[in-house]
Amino acid sequence: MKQKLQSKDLITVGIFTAIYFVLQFVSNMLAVLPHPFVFYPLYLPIFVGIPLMLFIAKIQKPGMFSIMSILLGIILFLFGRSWIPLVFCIVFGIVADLILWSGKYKSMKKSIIAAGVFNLWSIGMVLPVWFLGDSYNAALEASMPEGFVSTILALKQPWVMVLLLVGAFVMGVVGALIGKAVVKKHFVKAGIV
Amino acid sequence: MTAQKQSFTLDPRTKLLLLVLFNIAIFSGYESTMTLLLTLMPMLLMALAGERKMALGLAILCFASGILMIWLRPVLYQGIGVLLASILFLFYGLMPVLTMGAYVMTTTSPGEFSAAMLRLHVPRKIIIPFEVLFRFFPTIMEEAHSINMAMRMRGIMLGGKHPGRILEYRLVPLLMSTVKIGDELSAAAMTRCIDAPGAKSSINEIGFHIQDLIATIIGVALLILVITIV
Repeated sequence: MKQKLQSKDLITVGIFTAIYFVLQFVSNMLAVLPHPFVFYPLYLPIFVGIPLMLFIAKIQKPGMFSIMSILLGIILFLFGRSWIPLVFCIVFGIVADLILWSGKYKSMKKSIIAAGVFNLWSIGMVLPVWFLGDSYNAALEASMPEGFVSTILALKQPWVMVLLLVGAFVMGVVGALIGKAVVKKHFVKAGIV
Repeated sequence: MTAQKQSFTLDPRTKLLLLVLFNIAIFSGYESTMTLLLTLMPMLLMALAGERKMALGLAILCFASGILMIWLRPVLYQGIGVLLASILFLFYGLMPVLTMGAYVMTTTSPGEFSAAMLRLHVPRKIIIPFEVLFRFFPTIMEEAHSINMAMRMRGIMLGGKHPGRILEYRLVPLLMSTVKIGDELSAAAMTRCIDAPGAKSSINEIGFHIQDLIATIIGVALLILVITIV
């Protein structure tokens, strides 16, 4: 397993990062309502599970996941997210890469866990409202309907945080299982993986 | 013509810096007239770079939503219009960054971009996927659009016969076609020696000029203005 990333693989990384970003952007459209905004980590994996599992199945080389997460973080930042998702994305991407690496990128069980762990980054999309303070919220308040920020702030409770933490992982795993089934159903048959 | 165009070209690194500055600016505070002012800069730059049509289109879009935002806000936020209005205003809030992003993307060729990244000593492992990433957004949109049309014909849409299958029936063909396009892209890159060892050179001459300095100063000034006002 000393394979290094070839240029071909790097191109594939770019493609999947683009797909992941587009899907997260589309699913994030729902987050203009306060509840979907807070519980974004719980439904994001339903959208991105399939490409994520295809991505893991397709490359299987060290570093690929970290590169994707770094790019994803940068793109998120450039498209107007704060630095928190950027950091979360990179950290959980590297952790997911290590989990994949421990399974030599072949173990399906490790792939599913890695997908679950990686999904924890999306909690970083919620945190700015809770922790970045007034100036960030003033910006949000001005561009959102009345009560948007206050509803989100009202949800800053321990049980919500625990639910997000556990739920993000569990739903990441669920998304990965859906992804796995779909990849098996369509892509293995078609010879793409 | 080319000489005139050249003189208004900013270095890709300056463009990226402006993008980051704008990003910080919209986080530092928000005020609807300030947003209009910020949006003006990328539009001007775009017009100077020769993208007059696009600048005009964006200007109309931005000022129309600005007017809606500033004066019609209380009216719009009543009843069922909330969701639509929220999406519109979300985009309005991000307008400075989005227009700046549009400016960077329309006026920077992939070659210039990679030349700039090479100068910044970004590792190849980041540069290649990054270029592919930007090249792929339009492709994904195009493919998604045609798949959407095909699936509509089969009744797979919201409110259609099989709403539950939307995701699978859209994503799978999309992934299939993009992966295939990606394979073709890497084959094309291989024939152009993307794997050649040694330092790469570029035919794109990039470098800082007086306009880069001016643009940076204006960008920083706008950022300071936003921070002090809000």
